[in-house]
Amino acid sequence: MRKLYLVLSLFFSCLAFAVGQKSITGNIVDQNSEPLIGVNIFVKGNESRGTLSDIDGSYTISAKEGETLIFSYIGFKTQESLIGTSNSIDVSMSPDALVLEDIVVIGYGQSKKSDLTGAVSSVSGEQLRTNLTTNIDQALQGRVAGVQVTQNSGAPGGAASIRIRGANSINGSNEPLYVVDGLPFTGNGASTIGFDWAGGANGQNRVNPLSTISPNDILSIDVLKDASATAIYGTRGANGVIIITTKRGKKGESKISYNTYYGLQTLRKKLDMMDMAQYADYNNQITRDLEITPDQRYADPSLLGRGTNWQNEIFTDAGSHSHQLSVVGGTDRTSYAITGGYFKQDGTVIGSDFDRISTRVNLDNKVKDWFKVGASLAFSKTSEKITLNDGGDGVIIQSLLTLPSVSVRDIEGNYDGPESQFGTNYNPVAAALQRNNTLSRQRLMANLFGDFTIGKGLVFRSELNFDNNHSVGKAFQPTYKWGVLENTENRLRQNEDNSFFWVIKNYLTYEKKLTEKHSITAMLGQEAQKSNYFGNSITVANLPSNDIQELVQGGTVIGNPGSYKGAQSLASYYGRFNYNFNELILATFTYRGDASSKFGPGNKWGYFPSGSVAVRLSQMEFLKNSSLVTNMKLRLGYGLSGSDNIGNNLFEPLMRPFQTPFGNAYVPGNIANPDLGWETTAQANLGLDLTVFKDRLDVSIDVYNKNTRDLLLQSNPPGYLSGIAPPFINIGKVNNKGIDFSLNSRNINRNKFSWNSDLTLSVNRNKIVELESDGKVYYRNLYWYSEFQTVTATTVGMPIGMFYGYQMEGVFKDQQDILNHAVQISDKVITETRPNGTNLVSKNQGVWIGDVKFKDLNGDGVIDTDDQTFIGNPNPDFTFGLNNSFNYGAFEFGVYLTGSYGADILNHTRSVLEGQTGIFINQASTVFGRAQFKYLDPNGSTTDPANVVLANPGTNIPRPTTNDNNRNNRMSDRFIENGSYLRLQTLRLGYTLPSSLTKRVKMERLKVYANVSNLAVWSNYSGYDPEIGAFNQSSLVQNVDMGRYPTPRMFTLGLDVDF
Amino acid sequence: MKKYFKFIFILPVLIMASCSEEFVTIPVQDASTSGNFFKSEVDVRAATAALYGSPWFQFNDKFNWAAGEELAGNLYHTWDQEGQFFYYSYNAGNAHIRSGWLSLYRVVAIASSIINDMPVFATAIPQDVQDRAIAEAKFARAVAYFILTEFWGEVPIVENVTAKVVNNEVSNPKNTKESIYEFIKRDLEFAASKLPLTDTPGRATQWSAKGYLAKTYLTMAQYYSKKDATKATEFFNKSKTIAADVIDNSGLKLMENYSDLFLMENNNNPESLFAIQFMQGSYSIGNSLQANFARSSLITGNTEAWGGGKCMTYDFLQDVNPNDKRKSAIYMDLGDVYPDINKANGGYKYFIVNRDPSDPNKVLEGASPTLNHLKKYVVGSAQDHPGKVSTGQATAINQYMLRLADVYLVYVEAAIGLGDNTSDGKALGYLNTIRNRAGLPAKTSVTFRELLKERRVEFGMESMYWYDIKRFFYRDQTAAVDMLSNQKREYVFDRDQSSTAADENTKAGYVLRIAGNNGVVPFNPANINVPIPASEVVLDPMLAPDVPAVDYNF
Repeated sequence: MRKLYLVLSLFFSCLAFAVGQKSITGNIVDQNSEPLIGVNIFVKGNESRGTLSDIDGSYTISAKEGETLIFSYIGFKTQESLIGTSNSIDVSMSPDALVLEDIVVIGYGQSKKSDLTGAVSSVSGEQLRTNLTTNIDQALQGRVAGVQVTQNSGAPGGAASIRIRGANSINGSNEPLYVVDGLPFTGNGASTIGFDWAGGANGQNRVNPLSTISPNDILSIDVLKDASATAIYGTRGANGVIIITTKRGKKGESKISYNTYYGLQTLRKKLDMMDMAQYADYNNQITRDLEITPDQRYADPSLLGRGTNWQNEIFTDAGSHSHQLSVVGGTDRTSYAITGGYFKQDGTVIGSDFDRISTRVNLDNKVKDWFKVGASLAFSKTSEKITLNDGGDGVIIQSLLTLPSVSVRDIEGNYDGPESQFGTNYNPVAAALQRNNTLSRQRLMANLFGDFTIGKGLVFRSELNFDNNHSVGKAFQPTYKWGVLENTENRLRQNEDNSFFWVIKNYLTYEKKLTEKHSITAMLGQEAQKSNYFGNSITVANLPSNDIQELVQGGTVIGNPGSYKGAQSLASYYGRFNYNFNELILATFTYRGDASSKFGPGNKWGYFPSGSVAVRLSQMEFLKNSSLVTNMKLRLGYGLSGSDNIGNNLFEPLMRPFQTPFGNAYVPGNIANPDLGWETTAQANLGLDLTVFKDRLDVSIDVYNKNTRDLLLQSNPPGYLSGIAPPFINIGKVNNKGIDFSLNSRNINRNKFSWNSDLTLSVNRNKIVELESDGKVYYRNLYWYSEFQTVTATTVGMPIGMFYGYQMEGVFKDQQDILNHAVQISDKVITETRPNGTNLVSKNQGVWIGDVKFKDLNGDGVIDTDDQTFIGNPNPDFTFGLNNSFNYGAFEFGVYLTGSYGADILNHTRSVLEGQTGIFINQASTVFGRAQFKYLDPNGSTTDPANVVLANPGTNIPRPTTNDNNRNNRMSDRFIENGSYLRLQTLRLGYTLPSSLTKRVKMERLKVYANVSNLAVWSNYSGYDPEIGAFNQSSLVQNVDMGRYPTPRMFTLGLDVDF
Repeated sequence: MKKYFKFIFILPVLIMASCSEEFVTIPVQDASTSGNFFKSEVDVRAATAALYGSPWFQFNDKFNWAAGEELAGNLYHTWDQEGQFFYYSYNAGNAHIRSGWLSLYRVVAIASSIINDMPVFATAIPQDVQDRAIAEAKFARAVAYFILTEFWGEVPIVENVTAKVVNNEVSNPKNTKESIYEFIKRDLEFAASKLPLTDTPGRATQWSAKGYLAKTYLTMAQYYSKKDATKATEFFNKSKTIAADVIDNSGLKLMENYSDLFLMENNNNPESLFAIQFMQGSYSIGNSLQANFARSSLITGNTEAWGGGKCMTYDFLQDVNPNDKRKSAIYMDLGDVYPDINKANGGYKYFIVNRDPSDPNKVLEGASPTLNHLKKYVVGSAQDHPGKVSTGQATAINQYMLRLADVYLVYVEAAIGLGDNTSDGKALGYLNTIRNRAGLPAKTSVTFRELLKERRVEFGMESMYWYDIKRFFYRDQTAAVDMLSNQKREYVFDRDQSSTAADENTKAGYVLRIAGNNGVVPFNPANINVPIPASEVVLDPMLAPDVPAVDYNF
């Protein structure tokens, strides 16, 4: 057989020789000497004789001497090369400014970047991978102007919040719409069970919706920002659209790629808490201050060691590794891409982890000249384990509060626990390791399409997408005995959630060049989508053992097994019309109508038009031959998009059950609003794209003004009218205006050395323009924590979710200071001159020396709710990203900085760590600087206000007090901190081995790299990390640090191999 | 033909288009709507079942005892926001004042939905069934308003919550106490006329409504005693008549044994006129008082045991006769044994200090400031009572809101009326029935102050004493303030340093210390009402302290 092959090939080569053909080979590189893959090479005048360059940039083609080869590649200037005697032609392609960013994916189609009239930003998969990430959203951080990405948690698989040009909705979600290969889904994260069902506050329980997708599969991401771009998505486009395109096969020899890395994560920063000796000293002081019997064990702090450092116990260095294998290839008619990956990440908090198995098959086939089909099938399974990490009952805050005198384990090796039930209520290490809280998700995403070319320029496309999700959440509370803490009843809760979403799209696209100068494109389409979901949850108690965490027999079912079932649907019609005049003036008009099942009869339909115009000034005579300006485009657009982002069936009153000894009782679940309708966002955008200095500098600036009206809000009447959930209403207006700026500079581009810089800057100003009435305020609380019931306030004239509370003026120095100040606790002795009485100066019942002095803002002589004000803004003035990449020969080096400026943080953890309300919990070292007493007569009374003065004026931390009568720990600017930061996001060094070396082992390419992410953060913030994000993605509770899982520092070594 | 053949692919578009309105109409699949819920009497009963359970939970969880027992000087507990009631140092930001308020108004809202919205949807249901449901709702609403006005004073009356919200009438004035009493009285009279004589145990009956009516008239009588003697006398008489009606005609009777009242198997016993219905299972459907009161995990079998530092005040202990049979049902004292708790180890024996037998250095349970711990509503662990106790702070013991014993003593107080004491035979008969059960000698005459003391012990840790003090305050402010200001609240016991280790479980091993401000907490009459929560005033400025209350427009 082999012989035959040899003979045959010999025969054909002879034949080739006979007609003067010879084999030309060569390498094609770009301006950075990077190999260019997929360059189209053909013989001039005979386009059928062509080939493509391979993954190494090399090609082979048969041609005759004297013929000319043409090299063309999208985004680059086409080159010609005459074939001489040499059999080797190497080519260096230079970019073409005009078609620099080539094709951009927009809704229901594609567009040349140069033809765009709206604000669309693109990020290539290659760019994404330079910032090594576990999830796509992290990769976008700082990459796209106008897109603000914050990690809400550093937990593996934790959710991020993405805001495209600020928050539009007050109650509703502000997460954008994602479209992965035509399949739409929202960025609202799924939830884990959390632990409120077993007592305590839940903490964050949102997980990342994007974590089911492997970042390695991504070819490019396109972000639609302004209304002229998003309006085609109608109801779903109001928060912006992120279109993700995965890699597809190409014609040519199959390529095998293997990408892997190993990472080590460490905690970047620890908080400064008291050790045992310090705590003993502190305990002695406060028992003296509080006149409580001192604890004999603490009598001599110098004899005590450091005790348990609970932060060291709860945090750990954690590994992660990723493997991805892909095969890409194709023939004339069929191309394919098959990928498979495994990713595993342990958390830096013990007991937390995440892993993902993902596979994807993308297939394209040209069935007939007029008929093409394609399919994408992606399956992924993720498993994550969440330690309860946020909130007052989370293991992070509990590890800070647990006394250093408590050991992790007793002498027998069993978990120890606190000595008193008044302190922390568990052993954090035991809780992290024994209270399981897991979520396992399986997701199948599919896209099937057929393209029918009906006539010249007329294409009909039909698409079917579905998204099938199944998830199982489990939370387990074991039986245990940790010191004095004992639990004799174990419990397991299991939730199962299922959803099936499908969408059918049909649209017709018509392209026509009317005359030499006029051309049009028109698109008309229809779609229907529906999501069906159901689920159940069940709790069992008294399982036979802590080791069997399944719904097996032996346990008793607690309460009603819960279940839910529902569906939502959307029917839509849409169209787009593009007009192009001589590549000089471009215009786009879109129109979409949507009907949503979420609204009642008569309110279902919403209509969303948009229009935009662009002028390519660089095509005009006076600029056409400019050597300075190679591209200059001015864009102007306006349009509407909508939102129906609320629960189903809120327009009708529903009855909800709960258990009673009389059987199930039913209560109204909500007050209905039959008039509920669309929330609409109108946006105007003015943009300028500029390429200057011989294509060395690209600048893009967009200015936008967004008005959202008829907000879908849950009204909040006073509590005495809120016994039944208040209705959702359409009310109010929100304005977002801002600037997106991006700059791309090729600073140096010599033979072997190049240096590129990318800068993005996002500025957004958010303002509430209108609510039910001007005085209307929407408050948000932190659980039931009483002093944090009005943590944020949202009202007319202010940005969304402003921190709201009292202002601190210092701490009281002495009796006179208290008496002179506005009344904080009245002695209720009312006189003509003192209608509110005077401050009651008393150590146990009133205001005392060392208590916080709050500012009497309205000057009425009394400190009450009227003295609360806006004390901080969680919205940043601007966010930015700066990436510098350097290439020298086979070496590459990158430095990537991200930052945020001007946002405030509510450091809620400090209200506990410096709260000083308990004598059985640890405190921050800063508490040593708290208000200290000095007794004028050292032998005199400690409760006589005349005898007590503040020993350390100037302190900002009040005295300890176990029942906090003065409410020192109320929501005040005492806990507001500056959240500006600059983060060294990535430092990266890569090296590609010479191909002469790798080819010997049949490798096309071998690249090794080392990466450090989150190496350093420059910030004044005192907590773990100044990047807090939105609590469970709510835009009303942003930048509140309740013991957020800190984002780790990660060291990575990676390898990319192509065969 | 072939050219146009391809157009058939567009057909689905045209087909889909025709049915879009239907496609986007999806009825709710996992709940009923109010419109289709009320099909039969069973559904109406399911709606009224809500009036007895979890809507009351947040009220009962903390506010009921923290305010009810600490303000009154019965419960020693000085810690955190719960302890602010002990010192009268709470203010509008207090968490428990807020959750108590919200919980009571949730009861009002659910009652409102039955009174106002149910008839709109339940057109197929017979009128008498509807009336009975409305009567149950009005009964629950009256109880909620009774608590609201006795704790907060002037509060807004809301009859139709849904209408207020839908019409955006979200700023409402407070109403005067006179209006609120009138409102309560009308609701109870309606309930008394429409409720049945008997029902499923635990459901409100005519007698529940009448019991509350007697208590309401008594409260009104004391309220008017200084303002309008004629009115007061009239109300005392009404209270007496109605109380006697309940005692004589209801067929209800006192439990023989006082401590049996607080066993879970005796839920809804013949002495119970109204009790919040609790069950085990999960948070908010069960009674959480055990979690709040129990001394340690040895009692509850789980970590939900936060009563280690809570005890009866020294002042309360002074009012308890050593021979009083009620004592060990109210609090745990040295030597008390509870066979129902910790059954596996032969019952729970109370020690002042309880050390680990295997490691005497380990203190399992420490001494409380007054050397006792709370018992009432503490029932034991899930192991002790399978199916009746669970984690999630849930025990199945019902929370008494009105006992027949209360109606007995209401009669006695009404008999005293505007006078100082009574020797009325019927009244003394009722009083002595109660005293007899407690193992105390009969009385031949009783003064108001003596009756007050009787009530203090009879309902100890049932959060009733503050209402009694309120009536005292209405009839004699000076005396009431004087009594509160002289309560021996901060009298605590310290370990006698000269004593031997052996006597840590004898009272002789401790010495009394008068702590704080001479052991008392002066009471300012301005604190007679707790403030309306700050979070409410922010949303409705009409509720601010300086905005006067108005009469309700009936």
